Amino acid sequence: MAAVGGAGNGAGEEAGGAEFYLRYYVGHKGKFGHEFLEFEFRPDGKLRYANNSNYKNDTMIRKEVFVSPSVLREARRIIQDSEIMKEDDSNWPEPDRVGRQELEIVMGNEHISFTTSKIGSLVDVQTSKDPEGLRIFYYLVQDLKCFVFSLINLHFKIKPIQL
Amino acid sequence: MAAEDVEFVDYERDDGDDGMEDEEEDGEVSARALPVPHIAAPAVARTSRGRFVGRSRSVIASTRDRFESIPFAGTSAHGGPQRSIEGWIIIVSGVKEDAEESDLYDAFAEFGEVKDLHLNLERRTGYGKGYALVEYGCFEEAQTAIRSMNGTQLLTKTIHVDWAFNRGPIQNVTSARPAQRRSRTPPRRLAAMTY
Repeated sequence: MAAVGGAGNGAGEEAGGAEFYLRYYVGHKGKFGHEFLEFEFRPDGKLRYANNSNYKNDTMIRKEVFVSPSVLREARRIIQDSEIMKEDDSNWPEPDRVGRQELEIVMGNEHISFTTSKIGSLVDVQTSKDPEGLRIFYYLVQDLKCFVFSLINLHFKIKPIQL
Repeated sequence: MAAEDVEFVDYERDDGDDGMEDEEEDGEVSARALPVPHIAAPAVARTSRGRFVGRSRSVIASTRDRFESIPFAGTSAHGGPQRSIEGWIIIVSGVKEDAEESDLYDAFAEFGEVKDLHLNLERRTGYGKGYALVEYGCFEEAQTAIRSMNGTQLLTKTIHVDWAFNRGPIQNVTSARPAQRRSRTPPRRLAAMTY
């Protein structure tokens, strides 16, 4: 395993593929059940997207498609530019009844799995205990959602249910 | 499965031994000792951070339900670009931050009718995020656009143009392994990340 991973960090990384994983979840459990939006990029390029809002309809949307190495490389670039891997979620607001966000990323030899509450606006960011870190998270999540929504929308011609 | 579990537990222990010292004063030790998460980091990962590791609400990671996808058009199961529901999508990266939709449109309409164009903005600055997605109706139009525009300059910046979607998994992920036939069983490393 170690040998495989080491090689993946070299040539594979330049090729835009190996040692990259991204998952984002936002949701809550309430009177309409478990309403959420989640997407995931796997190392082999599989992009999975799941979206459920019982309020608007009963069926969960589950879509998947393989993206090209160029798309994965762009996702990596967005994450690298954000410098989220240097942050820590220990002082971020804890998830509550209003909702929960999760951001999990594996890149190179680092693995983050951050969790916080829903962030309504920048006011929530400013008044938190870690405004600088939470701001990075706040903007990165929006940029990643924007990227994935475009990919899913163009490929399947469906609009995400915004939570 | 058992072998993978053991492997992962080993990894977590390594992580605890190596990287905890600077964190112990934060009272995060107990959070890090949580049960094995559904999604595990690959074996190379040395640092694993986050308060709620192992307590994810992830639906994707736990579901065994089928995810819908657009079927392949041709006969070859893997490799090559994947058609989207209304056409063929290409990604343009390295786009200058102040490029406008009309710049992209003018450059890419040369190869066929641009049926859709997403030039997404960075939420923090309002400038371009650096990529665009372009839809053509025909495969040939998209292919010509890729061949003609990849590596060229758009507004003084070199752009990279490629298909956005593929018919199958990226092959070089397992480049360190001997070539293997694809089967329904996912590669072990991927399996280790998703169960």
